[in-house]
Amino acid sequence: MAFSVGEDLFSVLTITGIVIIFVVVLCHSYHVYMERRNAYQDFNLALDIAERLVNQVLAADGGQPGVIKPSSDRLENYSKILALHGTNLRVEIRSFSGELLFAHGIKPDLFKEYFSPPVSVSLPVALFWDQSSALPCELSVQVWRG
Amino acid sequence: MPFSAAGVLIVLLVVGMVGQAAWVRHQRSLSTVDKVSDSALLAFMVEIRGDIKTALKYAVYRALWEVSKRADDYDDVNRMHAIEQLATGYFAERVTELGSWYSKHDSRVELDVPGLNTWPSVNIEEVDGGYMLACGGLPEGSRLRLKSRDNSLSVVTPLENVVAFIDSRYFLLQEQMDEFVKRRGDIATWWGIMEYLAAWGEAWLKGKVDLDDSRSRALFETAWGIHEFNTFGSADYWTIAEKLADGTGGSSSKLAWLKEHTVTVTPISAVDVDTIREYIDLALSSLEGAAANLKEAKRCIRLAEDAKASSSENTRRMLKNAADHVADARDEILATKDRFDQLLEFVESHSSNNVVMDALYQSFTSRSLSEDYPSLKEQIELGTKGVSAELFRLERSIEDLVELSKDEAESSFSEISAQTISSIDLILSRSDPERWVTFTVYAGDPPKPTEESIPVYIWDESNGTIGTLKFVLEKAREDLNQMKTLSQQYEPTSVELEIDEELVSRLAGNPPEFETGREEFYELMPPQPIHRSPGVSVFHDFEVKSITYRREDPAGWCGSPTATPVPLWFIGVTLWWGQWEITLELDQNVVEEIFDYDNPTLLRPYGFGHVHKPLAYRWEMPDEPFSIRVVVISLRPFSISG
Amino acid sequence: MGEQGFGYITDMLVFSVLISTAALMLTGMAPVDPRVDSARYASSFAHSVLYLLQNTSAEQFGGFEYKLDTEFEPDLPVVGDSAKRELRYKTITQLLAEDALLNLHVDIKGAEFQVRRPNERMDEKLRIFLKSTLDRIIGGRFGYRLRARTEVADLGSARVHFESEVADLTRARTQLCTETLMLSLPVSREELAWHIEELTGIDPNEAGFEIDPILEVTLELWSR
Repeated sequence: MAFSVGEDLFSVLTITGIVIIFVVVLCHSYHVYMERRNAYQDFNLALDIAERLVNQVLAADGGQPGVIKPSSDRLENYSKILALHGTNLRVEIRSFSGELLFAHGIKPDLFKEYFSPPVSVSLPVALFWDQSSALPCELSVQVWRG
Repeated sequence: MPFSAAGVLIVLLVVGMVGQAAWVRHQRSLSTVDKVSDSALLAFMVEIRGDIKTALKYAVYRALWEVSKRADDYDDVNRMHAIEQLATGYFAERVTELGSWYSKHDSRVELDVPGLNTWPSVNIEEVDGGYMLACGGLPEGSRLRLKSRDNSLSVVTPLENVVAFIDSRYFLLQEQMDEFVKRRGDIATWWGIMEYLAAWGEAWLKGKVDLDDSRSRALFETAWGIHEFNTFGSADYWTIAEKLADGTGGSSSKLAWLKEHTVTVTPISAVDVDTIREYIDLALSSLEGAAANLKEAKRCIRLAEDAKASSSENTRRMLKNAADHVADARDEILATKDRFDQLLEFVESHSSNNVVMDALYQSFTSRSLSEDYPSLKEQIELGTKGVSAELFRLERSIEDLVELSKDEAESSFSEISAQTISSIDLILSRSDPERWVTFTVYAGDPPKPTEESIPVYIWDESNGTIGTLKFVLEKAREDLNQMKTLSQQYEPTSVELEIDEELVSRLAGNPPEFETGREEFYELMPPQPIHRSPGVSVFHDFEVKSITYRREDPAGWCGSPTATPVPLWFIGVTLWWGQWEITLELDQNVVEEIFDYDNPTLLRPYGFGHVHKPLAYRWEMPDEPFSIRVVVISLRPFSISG
Repeated sequence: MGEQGFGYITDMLVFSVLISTAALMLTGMAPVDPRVDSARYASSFAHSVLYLLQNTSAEQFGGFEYKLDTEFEPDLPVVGDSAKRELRYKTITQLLAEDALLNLHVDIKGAEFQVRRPNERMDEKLRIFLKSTLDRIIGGRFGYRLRARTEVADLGSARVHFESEVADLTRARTQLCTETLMLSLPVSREELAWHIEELTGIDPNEAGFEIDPILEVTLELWSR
């Protein structure tokens, strides 16, 4: 095979350029795919954590789900377990009017690069107030890695 | 074609990746479905536990209703025990029933509960506001078994205690009813106050007290209502209003004074008798001053008599001194009169809005005891006028002595000075009564009306001496003391009936007509409480069986319709003393019932369905008679009929 | 350009086409099924809503009250607020179960038989209350439909059942989940049988019908 300087060289460069572009596009597609997969995984993780908090960690009535009773100790222990897996957790309980009733864990730094960006899930919950009443609230769980 | 080959390889790789991703996605979807299915099972479990909790609520509601409807059958401890026992039974029945309901409705649910006999007792405790918290246990070994739809997953969970908040204020009702029953003597107190007020008004203003059966019923109903209001913040105002308005001889008009909300009467003891006594003390001290001056004048005349032989100048000086003392004594007598006039002015100034003071003024100034017995004012005026005239004459006599001392006529001087000294002694002395007036008094045991003669000390100017005036004023002071002591002993110190304005307006309202039974109606439509807190509606049901009146004052014992007169001669007052005991008997089945108006939460059968009713706390009271004693002491004569 | 050059270019072009295809395949490839994940979140959310309805009292959502309708019995005088029923401390599911019992529907020959009853207004008021409560809890994140219904008791000439529904399906696209809560009616089976007999004149026990005293509360969440 022999190349002639001029048209052949131009063609080779053009084609090589196109190939590179297409390879970059391919890589980008793969990156997008991975990001979406991570995002879904993080969302699922956050949802799993939120469910576990409601059903077990913070369940008030003798460990049975339905009503939650915030406990910093229990959350601290649970956060430590998550931290071993590189997962950070922040829990907030707000009334429906937006008033912050309880918070645990540090807030994620919006300007910091994490291994995965913070993902948030919120669920309505009944917050144990006294034996006669439970307050309707919103439990918000933020999860991020890195 | 190396690039094409590489491209084919890449495509194959990507196809592989896509295939793998699809497989992963499928697996993830399956896993998510499993998770959803698991959480559905968990949710199912939570919901059934919640339903068991609600079952406990309904069991306690039912037990509460049944026991509270016959609350008087138990003491506080046994009542709670009865509620717990009944609630345990109903809870056991209901949970057992629920097991079969769930299984029939959804075969995935199985509720295994051992037999009814092994159920732990429901435990009840009080929480804030008089509400309660019920803790119900299930027998050991109770479990809930749940299966997923595809039978791939089965969950078995033990069922333990459930705690339910019971939104009925049983403890509040219990506490309030205990208070009402414990302090039911207050009903008699309020009734006694109202009977006294009504009788006092009639005695003073009409001169006739009617011992009216219908009025006593109305007053008793009202007293019951006041006690209810003070305890519960509300009363069965519809019933009271109905009884006040029904045909019991115009009870409502007799209670018209209730509409003024506050009725105040002033018993004699509360009148300013002490101030009156102070005026009398001032008058007495003026009399003392007059007496001292006269004694000094007497001494000067005697000295003048002694000096007559040696120095006419000294004699004249002494006589001049004696004349000055007599003039001073006359001034003191005028001051006595002034003090007494001030007393009358004081009493008169208070008599326009105070019937007791008005009566006292009349007694002091007019012949109220008898036409033959002069009033205190007349006696003081006549006495002071007579004494002043005598003192004037005495001054003239001393002037005569001064003239005689110049003439050196020894015998005339001695004679006139002796007469003067004897006049002074006469003015200082107390004259004996020469007139007597006859009155009827009640004395003896048992008391009988007897005639008694009372002396009259001053009936014209000639009876006026300083001694007599002093005696009359001292006796007047004693009478005032006796009047006050008697009133203090029997009458309330100060009576003020203040009835809540809102209660009065409710009592004056038109009650609804009850076609159905009143108690059933109240259960369904409890009347709105008068006060928002504690939010309790009140029902009562009783009928007055009999009312008896028994006179206890001496005249009443003797069968006289008039009150017993107690004359106080020196102040011209007759105290009219009426005393009677009222005994009211109620028919059996006296019911007091309160409803938790703020919490109409109990589902109870009604008509062809159910309605929400408030918890009722029903108490049947013992049929003890209510007895009160009314004593009215008036300065005006009055009769007692009935 | 010679034949080899053309071949080379063709090779390149084929390569590019294959790469493009691979990239497109990668781009279109979803790591997870978003519908499944949405459904999972919706399901979890729906359970949380049902827990909330079962555990929080009406007071927490502004309180619930209704007035007894006394027209059903004209002899009853109504004075002031005596007919008011303020049910502050009942949980929302408790209210639903009580409403179902108090307002059972009776169909005779396919047409609803109007029964005058004291609690008629509770049904309507409760629907309004539930709507505002669910609006507050769900807060526009999903469209929803809450249904409460009992099994139909078919007594031959009459059918007795309860059905109530509140929904906000504006801009709703696809149904994400349906979660169900079982509630027992707050009376015993005998009382319920008596209640139905009073309403219809037919004794369900004699008619051989076994009553199912369970109220199913179903919450559907829809994507928006």
